[in-house]
Amino acid sequence: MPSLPPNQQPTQRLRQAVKGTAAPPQLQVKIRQQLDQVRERKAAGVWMRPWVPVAALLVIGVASGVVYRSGHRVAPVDSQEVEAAALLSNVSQTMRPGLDDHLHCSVYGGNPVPDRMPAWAEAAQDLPPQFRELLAAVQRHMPEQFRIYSAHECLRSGRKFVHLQLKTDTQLLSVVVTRRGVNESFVRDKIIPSLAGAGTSIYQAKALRFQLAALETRDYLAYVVSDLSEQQNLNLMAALGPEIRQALRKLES
Amino acid sequence: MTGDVSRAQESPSAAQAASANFDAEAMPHLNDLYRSAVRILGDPQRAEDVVQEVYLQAWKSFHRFEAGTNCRAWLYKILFHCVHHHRRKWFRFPLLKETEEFLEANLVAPAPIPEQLTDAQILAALDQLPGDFRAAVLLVDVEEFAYKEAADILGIPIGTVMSRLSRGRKLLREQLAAVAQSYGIGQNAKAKSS
Repeated sequence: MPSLPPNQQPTQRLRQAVKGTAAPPQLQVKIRQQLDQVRERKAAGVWMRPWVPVAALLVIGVASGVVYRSGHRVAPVDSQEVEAAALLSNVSQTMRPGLDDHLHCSVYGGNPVPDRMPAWAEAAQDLPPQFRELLAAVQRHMPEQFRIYSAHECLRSGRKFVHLQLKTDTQLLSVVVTRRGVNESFVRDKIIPSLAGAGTSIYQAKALRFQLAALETRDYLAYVVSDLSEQQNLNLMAALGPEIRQALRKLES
Repeated sequence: MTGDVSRAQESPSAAQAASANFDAEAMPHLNDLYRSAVRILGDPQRAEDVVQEVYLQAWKSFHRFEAGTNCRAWLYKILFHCVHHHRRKWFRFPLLKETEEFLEANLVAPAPIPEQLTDAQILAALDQLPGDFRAAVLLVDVEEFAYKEAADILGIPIGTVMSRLSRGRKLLREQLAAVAQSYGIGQNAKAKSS
């Protein structure tokens, strides 16, 4: 041992001995879990006040009656844009086109639900013929309770979309296809796919209640956007994915 | 608690920022707090419990912590508060032999520390020190807090910190010399020098 000044030597040895003890690795995990529980309880605490659920129901009821018409929200355009911008900021750049089109066309009522639900053929009358195969795939795999009310081409911020709009009594769902921009690629952005197999990688994202599942081909991006559960939305894209890819490849060739 | 209410009313992004700040400020001191707790309590399991309690208390009152001030000292203050609280729970009667008067009466002349002592022997000797003295030695000599910081952490005057430190050091030397003697360490050197 190197010789130290008489007063320093015991202090150094003591420090060395005590600092040899380290916290067990699981302690940090326990602490983080404990703090997470506290945070969750705090977040839930607001809802545990007895008057809050009642007030919330009242507000939702009144708001639904006033601002929802035919399943569409009619809110001031400015507030829609603010809300859309906030939602879009939750997802990656390559996810944004699909969510943006779903929000403006389906949720904000850009193309509202008709008073009478059309038959499939009638709903698809505005769809360009080259996307008929895509429509057929959606028709084959869509859960029974979803009904298509429009399949059309739309324009949003100068960008063209093929948009299949479906709904149940309580949920909206969009299948959206758009040409891939130069800087848009899940692969290039190194986003990890949620599912990969049979040549199809599926990417997921979430913005509040909206679930997104997407895939990319050489020239296109395709999205399923809905307020289904995360797993249901993913499963739907997993079922549709290979046929969407095949249909889009034909367009690319 | 005011803090709880204010945090419950924070926006999600503010709450996330607070969590991130807390992680960045407080979590790096986990090892320091744990090893001090082990030495103060003499029981790793109790030390884990107390350190968890420290982080919980720290999180609840993190809004009172001023960014840029000494987070480590703040956490140590909470640690000692928690230790006292747990001691009251664990022990129904006060520990004996902890008064300065008792130690004053029982201290002997300081002895040199032999060099060949192991870490385990040094820790065992430290653990033998009365709690108040051990805390002063740990804070100043091991964790390198200034006297003023140690006084603030322990909630006692600086003069008391200095006196406990001095007596703690003396007692530690004595303990170590006794251990060394029992193993025959240092006797050869003493014989050579005489």
